[in-house]
Amino acid sequence: MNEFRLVDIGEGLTEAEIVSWLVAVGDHVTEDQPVVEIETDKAVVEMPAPVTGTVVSLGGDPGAVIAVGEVLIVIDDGRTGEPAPAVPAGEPAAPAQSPAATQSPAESEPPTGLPTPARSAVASRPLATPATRALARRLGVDLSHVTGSGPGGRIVDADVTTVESAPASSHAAQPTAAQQAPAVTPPAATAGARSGPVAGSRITLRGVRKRTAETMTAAWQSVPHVDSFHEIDVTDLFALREQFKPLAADHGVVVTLTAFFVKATALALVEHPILNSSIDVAAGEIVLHGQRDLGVAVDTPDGLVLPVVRHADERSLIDIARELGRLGEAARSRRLTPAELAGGTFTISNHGVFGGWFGTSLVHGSEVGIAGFGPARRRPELDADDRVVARRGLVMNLAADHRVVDGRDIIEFGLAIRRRLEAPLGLALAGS
Amino acid sequence: MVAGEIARPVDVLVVGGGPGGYIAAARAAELGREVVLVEAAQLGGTCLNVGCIPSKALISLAHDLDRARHRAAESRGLVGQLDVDLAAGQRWKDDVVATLRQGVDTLLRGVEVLSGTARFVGRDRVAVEADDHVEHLRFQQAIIATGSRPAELASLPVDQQRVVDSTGALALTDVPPDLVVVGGGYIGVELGTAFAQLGSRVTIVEVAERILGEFDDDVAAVVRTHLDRRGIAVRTKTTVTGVDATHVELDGSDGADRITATHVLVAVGRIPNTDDLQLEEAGLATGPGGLIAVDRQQRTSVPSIFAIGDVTDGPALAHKASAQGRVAAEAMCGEPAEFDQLVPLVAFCEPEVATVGLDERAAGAAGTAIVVGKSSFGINGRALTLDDADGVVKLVVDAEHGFVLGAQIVGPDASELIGELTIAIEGALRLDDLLGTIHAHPTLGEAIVDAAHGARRRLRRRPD
Repeated sequence: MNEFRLVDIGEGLTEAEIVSWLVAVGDHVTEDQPVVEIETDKAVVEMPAPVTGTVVSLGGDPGAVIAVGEVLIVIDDGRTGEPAPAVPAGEPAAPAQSPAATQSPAESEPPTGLPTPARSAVASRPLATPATRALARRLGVDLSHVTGSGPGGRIVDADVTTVESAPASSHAAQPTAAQQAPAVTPPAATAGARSGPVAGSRITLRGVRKRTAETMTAAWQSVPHVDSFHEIDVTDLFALREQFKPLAADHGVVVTLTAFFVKATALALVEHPILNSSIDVAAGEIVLHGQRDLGVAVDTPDGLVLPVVRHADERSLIDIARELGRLGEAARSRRLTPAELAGGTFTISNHGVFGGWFGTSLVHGSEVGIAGFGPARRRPELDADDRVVARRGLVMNLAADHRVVDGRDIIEFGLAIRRRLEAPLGLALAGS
Repeated sequence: MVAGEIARPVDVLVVGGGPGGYIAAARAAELGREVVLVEAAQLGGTCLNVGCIPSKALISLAHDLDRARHRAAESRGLVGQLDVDLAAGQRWKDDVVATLRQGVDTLLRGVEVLSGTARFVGRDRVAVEADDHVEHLRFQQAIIATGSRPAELASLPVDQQRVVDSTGALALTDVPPDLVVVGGGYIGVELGTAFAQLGSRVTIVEVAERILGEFDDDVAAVVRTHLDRRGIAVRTKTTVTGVDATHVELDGSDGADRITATHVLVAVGRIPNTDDLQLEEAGLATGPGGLIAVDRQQRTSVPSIFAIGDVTDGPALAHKASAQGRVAAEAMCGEPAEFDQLVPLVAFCEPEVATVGLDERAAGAAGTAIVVGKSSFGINGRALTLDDADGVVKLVVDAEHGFVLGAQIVGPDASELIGELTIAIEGALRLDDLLGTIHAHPTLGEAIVDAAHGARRRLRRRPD
């Protein structure tokens, strides 16, 4: 008998909500087979079975909140008795199939070295178009686990993007990633969420949404904010990025504007360390951080997440771009680990991708500053001879904790970012 | 160390420039990779040089001649004599091939093409042997796309003069008077029919119980009727035991026999070109029939080496190789690509045959509940005005929801019609989607609608 207790899988986890059980009492499970999805304040994580055996009891119904240290699942790891078949209800009974094969990642592609022939059984094709199948591969969703909401059970894009369970090794490119780190999956679809919010219904606050509600309320209530706005000319930055593209492509990297924003902000933080700090109210101290780890807002179908680019001031632009690409892809495919989400010292948000002109921001977590970048637009400017010239510009907004940062600090910090973005060659040359 | 053994570093190496290799190379280059493609013969591979394209040129030439000469031409008011100059036809065919080869050159503009034979000399190395020198390449990733060649029979050594394989048959400049085709698969039936249309007396010898074993019974039966009507002798359950200067010796269900043969075409399948690659040097082994095992990303047991097309399991078809080439190129660049599509099968015999997805046999074996709808081209307005109205469309449909699962077509332009049904299956369309789509009149595609109506009636009749 093996009692499996909830452990702290991320930084400072104290409790987690059970999203859904992937197994039922009586099921046979194999070691490392995902058995439950739990939702922490940052992500939905699949927990694997620690041993091979039969499920004796479950620690709570979906929706229940369990504290770290409480029993999550009890598994009998004795070798007695035949394992009960584990064909999920609603699926046609598969003849003489190994129980583990119905839902464990073990059934899908072997890692390497054991290739299997391409599928020949057309009868078992998922009812999804090639475009939807490609989407599923991109998101790491195994279509054999997806219930289609389309006519006759056809799987449509929305079914894939809101799917609750996505065994991670379902495609050959990432054979064992799931076993190495807890996989982040989309948050629980509350009832009806699969087809999007329905007018007149109520949506339960949970997971990422609930956490956002709590932290933003805390930030609004306890942090007196100071704001600053800067117009930045990015004409030369655009030109430089064009020159960068083929070079970056040689490295297999796409250099986005965000990469420049990260680099410029990190270097400005070196110059203005007060913006890269936290306030310790109990001790009555300001804590200046030794490294510049930038959280970068990534919009995903599940909400905003903030994966962290470590040591952003020390990295080259190409390196930052590569890391942003990797983190962005991981965020969209729900593969971010809790460690990749934790420990930022400053946040930037490129909200220009959504349109708008400029916005305001609230500082995040224990950080004291955040920078937001609006869309880069073509606009008329007056040159030195008062002639109208076409330039490209954007509005950057800064917000900071006024307990730590004064108006002058934040304006000078903004100018430091602006200076770097308007003379971008220095950014390209900086860093290792 | 001699100079030739210094390995030149290469990013992506593609071995073979056929429809699998050149698509893979172009796609990898498009994704920003430095690609070197090694081709032992000519770009375009079997498909372009000695397969799909030249055979379809010859077949359409023969088809046109036959229609004008025989197919009730006079009853339709066509009068006058028509003859064929096969040598001139071959020149036209060569022009077509040259035009398309230029297209391949254009596609490979961003790819370095090396002429030579590649053999593995390590997990990340090949030696490329050209006329007078050997170059060693060290690759990051490689794609094996060496295709296949016609299988041979020990009892019938091919000399490309009297005993030819499909390559030799496509180069003949005179119409053979008495042609014995050994092998009743789609290549044998296609070419046997074409030469019969050009004026040869043709006998098809097949060891199995029936011809076109890769196709559905109903489909094969229609083609067989046409062969009989045209006077092509078909000898099933029969083998060729010997050949002499004027005859071929047969042994089969009708006993031993000896038939006149000015030419013999050996069309007994294709074998993968893997035996000469020194795969063991790369740590690779071949499975049954010389095939290389791959996963759904076309990756072999050596993760940096991929294999596509005829050297892997599945039908030896150009479009399958191209699709796999694209998958391999994307997978090696880290894209989540997989080869998961249906491969339509097409044979340009008389009438044309095309199938995709599930047939009745496969559905039965898989235990899938289906209904089948059929329609005949005999009541199709366009087929009748083409004077080409033999054939059927069969639709295999999921019995519960009416999803289209498979289609078998034998009839005029079956090769074109199958595209609509391939999209229907890949797109998870149902019968009512086909029925709710207007098909222009008068067209052959209306036969698909008729078959869908047939399946719809059966679907309603089901007790559940």
